[in-house]
Amino acid sequence: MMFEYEFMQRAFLVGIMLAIIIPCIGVVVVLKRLSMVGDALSHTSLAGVATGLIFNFNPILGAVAACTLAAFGIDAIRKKIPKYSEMSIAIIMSAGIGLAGVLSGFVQNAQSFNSFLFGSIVAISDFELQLVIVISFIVLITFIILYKELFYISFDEQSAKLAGVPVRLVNFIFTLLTAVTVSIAARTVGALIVSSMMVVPVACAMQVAKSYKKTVLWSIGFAILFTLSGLTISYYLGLKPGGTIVLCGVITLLFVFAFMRLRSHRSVQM
Amino acid sequence: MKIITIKDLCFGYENVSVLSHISLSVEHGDFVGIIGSNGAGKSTLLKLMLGLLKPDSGSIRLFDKEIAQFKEYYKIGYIPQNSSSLAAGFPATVEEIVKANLFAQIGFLRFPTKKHKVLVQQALETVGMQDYAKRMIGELSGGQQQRVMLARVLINHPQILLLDEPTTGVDFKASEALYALLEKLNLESHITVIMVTHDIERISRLAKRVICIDHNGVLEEKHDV
Repeated sequence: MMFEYEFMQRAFLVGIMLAIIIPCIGVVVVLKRLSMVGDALSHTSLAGVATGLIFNFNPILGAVAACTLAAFGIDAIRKKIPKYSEMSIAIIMSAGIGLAGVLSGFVQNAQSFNSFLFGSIVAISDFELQLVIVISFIVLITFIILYKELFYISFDEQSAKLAGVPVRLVNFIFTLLTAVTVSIAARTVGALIVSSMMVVPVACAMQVAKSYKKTVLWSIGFAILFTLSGLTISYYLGLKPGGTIVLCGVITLLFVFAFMRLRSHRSVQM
Repeated sequence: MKIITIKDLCFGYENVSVLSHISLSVEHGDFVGIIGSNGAGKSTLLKLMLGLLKPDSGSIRLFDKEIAQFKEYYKIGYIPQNSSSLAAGFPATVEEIVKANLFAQIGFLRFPTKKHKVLVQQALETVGMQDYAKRMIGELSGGQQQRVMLARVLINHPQILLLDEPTTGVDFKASEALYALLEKLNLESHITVIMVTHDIERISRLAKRVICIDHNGVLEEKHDV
């Protein structure tokens, strides 16, 4: 049985916690039409990971710092060129990948750097477990407290501003939450696939949910399902957990698309 | 009582002049139609009135306060251009959308209560959409979505409504109903209405004043048309 191993118990614990917080961030990111932000941040986080490995401090802390700088960099560039705001994501992503590429050449232990590319959820240290617990708790509480503000900003930022929502402050907090979430998720599912963990559960939820609140809850439900099934399959088939979790998500999304299409086809016939 | 006073307003985007020396005022209870050709600056004028854009020169006063000092935005209901396009594909119910605008009443970092749910229902009743509270906004027709957007601003009992081409993409019957509703709000609830539109025929029939603007300022103003 896989639960006889402590590393699997940890993997499930960390996986479930991340499956709760990543979709919370993902819903807002998707509805603000910023799906690629997760990709840009996760790639940039690798520069922080490399810095941590070179200078012997925890790579996750390095990733958090790099992601935070990248997130504010995206915001700053977007404000400079509002008409082509999506360029900001491409610029930061290119800069992040470039920097990560250069710094990775100085990393002594290439194996530990590579573990961040595709994640290593079954090799979580005590410190990383504690970090995930604390950060998950902070992200979840903040998301609940800012629920109505984030909803309004996602729907119509201009009207939210007129209604009195402190848009700049809420966006600032949300940027921090995104950066921190992406950084710790990079350690588990991997920097290269963290953005799909942010987007795929939300894409599934948007097909079936009948309100914003239910979209959030369904997204969390789907993410937990992907994590549990991905970890189980990867254990028994000896696959990489991060990639398996994401593939479970994408396959589920295809099933959801097919199911919804079949259902609408039947309702037209009736 | 003057609700909006604009004096010698000039505004341009990146050195391209859009509005030049605009002066006008709006009284409490007015129903003002703003017309003009595409690119004449009609939507820009509304955004300037709301403080969403800063004028290059001139002054704007809202409720007898300089716009920079004005903070009581709950007194203003604004429906932007193509507001219903925001709703397309957005996973939220009508109730959630309308409730969002209660922010000023609920407060920052606080949660809505049953009282706020009742207010949402009342606002939806005003626009005849009370049976759609649990429906997804994206499932509604263009006309129904515009009614929901109207309920969203009416929930705060605004003293003035600023509408930017609210009937764009809405069929004839639904836009007639929307115009009738706006007329009722203006006559019975004394809500001041300022509407940007291309529908000259209908706005001439409905509005107390019609203002035609272009880059050179206010071209023409007709009272009690």
